[in-house]
Amino acid sequence: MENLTDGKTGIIKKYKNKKAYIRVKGAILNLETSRQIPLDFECQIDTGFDGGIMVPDSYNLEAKSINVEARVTSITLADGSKVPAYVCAAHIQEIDTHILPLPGKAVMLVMCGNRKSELLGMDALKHCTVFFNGPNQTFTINV
Amino acid sequence: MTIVSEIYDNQQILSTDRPEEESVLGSERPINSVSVIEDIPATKPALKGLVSFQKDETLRFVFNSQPRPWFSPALLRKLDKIGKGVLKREEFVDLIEQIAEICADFYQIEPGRVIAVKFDGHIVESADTEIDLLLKIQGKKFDVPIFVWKVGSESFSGWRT
Repeated sequence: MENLTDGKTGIIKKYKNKKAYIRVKGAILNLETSRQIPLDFECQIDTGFDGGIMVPDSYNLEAKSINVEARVTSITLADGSKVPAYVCAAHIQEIDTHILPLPGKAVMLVMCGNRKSELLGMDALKHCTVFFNGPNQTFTINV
Repeated sequence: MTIVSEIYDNQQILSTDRPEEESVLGSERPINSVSVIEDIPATKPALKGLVSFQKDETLRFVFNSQPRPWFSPALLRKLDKIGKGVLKREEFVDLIEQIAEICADFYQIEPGRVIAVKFDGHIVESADTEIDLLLKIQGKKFDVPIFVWKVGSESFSGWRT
């Protein structure tokens, strides 16, 4: 994905397949043992999703492998239906080229379904400024 | 005072059967906690047959279990189905919604707070935000599986209008 740097407003990125994607790196941390599962996603920005990051529920097993137990809950999908899901805390350490101070920003990691692309929700973006330019198919993000 | 001490003795026996559980909220009282009222002034019985309190006696009240929200038979049947692994997704969502609503109502949790609830109806942790709660309960072990819930909300997260 092409980056167009704008010194005043952050990084301008082009849409990919008419959607806004951004590279996010982080980890599921076990704060007691310092073990971690690294996360590295090309996340689709979803302003309707109020969680942090949504990943497939297979990550539940990975979290368990470092003794982080995801907790069950129910979430509302975009069609209004409610489904069970697992949630745990994860830490975002990089958003595109922006590096956050360790251990990173804690966000809610929602594990549900088996969709291919990960989603970046409003909880993860609450400290960011994002402008979407629909006609130009670009967005600007400032962390 | 004979009556009081007999009750105490009986409840002491019962209390040994139950495992210890942690409690968080103010409305809960830890298992086996003993409230002691000392130095009760001597009183004269106004009527014959009433128990009189002597100055040197101590009253003890033993709480064998925490107050539990009332679960309907239908809810208990669903909980039983969980153990057998035969609960559908919709039923599971309904189940945790019902338990969460009963608990929030029972413990009078204000809307907007997020809580971690054991499937037996006990609230084990609460926080102002979802991430605060998840960080609080991360790494903690519970004797009964738990779920997380946002009081007054239709779900914990997702696409909400």
